[in-house]
Amino acid sequence: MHDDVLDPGRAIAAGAAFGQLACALPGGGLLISSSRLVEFNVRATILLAPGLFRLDLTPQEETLGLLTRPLADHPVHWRAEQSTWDGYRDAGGVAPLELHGLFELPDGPLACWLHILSFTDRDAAAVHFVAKAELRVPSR
Amino acid sequence: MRRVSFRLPVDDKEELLDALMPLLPAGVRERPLDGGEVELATTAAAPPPRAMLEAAVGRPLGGWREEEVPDDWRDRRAMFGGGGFLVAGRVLVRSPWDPPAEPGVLDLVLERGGGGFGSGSHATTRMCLELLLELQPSGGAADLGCGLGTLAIAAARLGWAPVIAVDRMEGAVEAARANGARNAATVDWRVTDLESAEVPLAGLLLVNAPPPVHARVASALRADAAGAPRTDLPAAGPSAAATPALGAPRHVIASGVVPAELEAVASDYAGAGWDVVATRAEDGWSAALLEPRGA
Repeated sequence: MHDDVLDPGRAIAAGAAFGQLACALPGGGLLISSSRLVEFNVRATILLAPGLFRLDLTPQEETLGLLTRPLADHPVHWRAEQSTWDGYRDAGGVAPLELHGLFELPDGPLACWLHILSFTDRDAAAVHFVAKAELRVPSR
Repeated sequence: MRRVSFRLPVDDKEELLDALMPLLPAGVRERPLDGGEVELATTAAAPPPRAMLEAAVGRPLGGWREEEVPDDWRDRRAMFGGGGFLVAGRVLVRSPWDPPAEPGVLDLVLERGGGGFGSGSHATTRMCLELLLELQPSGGAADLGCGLGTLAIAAARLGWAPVIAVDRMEGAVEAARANGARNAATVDWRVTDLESAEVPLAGLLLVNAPPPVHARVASALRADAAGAPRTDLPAAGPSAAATPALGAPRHVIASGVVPAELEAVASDYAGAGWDVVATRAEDGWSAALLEPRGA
């Protein structure tokens, strides 16, 4: 199970249409990353971890819709950094949005760290996103 | 640019999007339709072909439409909308680039600027408008933390008068003043920091602001109830003498708080003799209508 969901080739193929990159992490794990310019009120997939989750973002002028869509039935728990809830509106700040996920897979847990940077371009009524996810077997 | 749109049943939407979203880099704009369907539209220089999307979902995509559309988003907004928010079917909050409201709907045109808040895209603004629509306009109103001026403008257009609106951000007040003029709303706009200045009171208080501002408003209401001298305006200014009294406080519409914060905010108001009489919750945010106990 871990081998499947941590396979960079599988992640690249799944996200090929939107230019997702993937590679193995030193010490084990998977890094997936992607960037996108998304118009206000449009929902777009930013990251896709096959067998685990898809991350969709819907930027609006004053808020950000964020959906971590599970792609399997395994239990998953997400939590966000407190700063994440306030960060998107703060045009002067460059702090990333961060989420931490824990997937309970049959062969053991898998931790996910999501990291999303955004830059709002009001003249284009759109938001630039750079997102990455690190997936690793948590250290005991 | 080309725009492709099609319809999906609402009940199957998320499952079908599992197959479609990875194939639509430009994303989708959703529009609810009657009959349990939703329209999805994507706009790109080269949208994926219909056959590819239908193969991905394993079924025909109903209502398929493909058309050439303007490159500039403003022109596309004028054609298709997508930046407006209809509240309770009675008020449309939109940008200048969105199509106007249907007849009979109050059309509020808001342009962002100065870092101001209140374009209608945030749940707190919409919930405050919903609660505002439940009240019969009678007397003065004060928008405390007005941002772009949305609530003050709506109150004025609905018949509350006089209306005062304050914000600590000069740029926001400037944008709000322009929005007021754009919507022919008579509002006295002021730059005031409610964390330090005296809080102006009115028959209706619109407070879409963080908890510390609510604490200040509750404190001002408590002092008012105890018979302290009233400060209807934050400071003497050029128009202060011409601004009539804003009336005794009768309603507070409070938002800008998450559910976990609402209890403490309600407790502040309860200490001033005010009780929650209606609440709203949307998208992880809360709003409440409060009135003096026994009113």
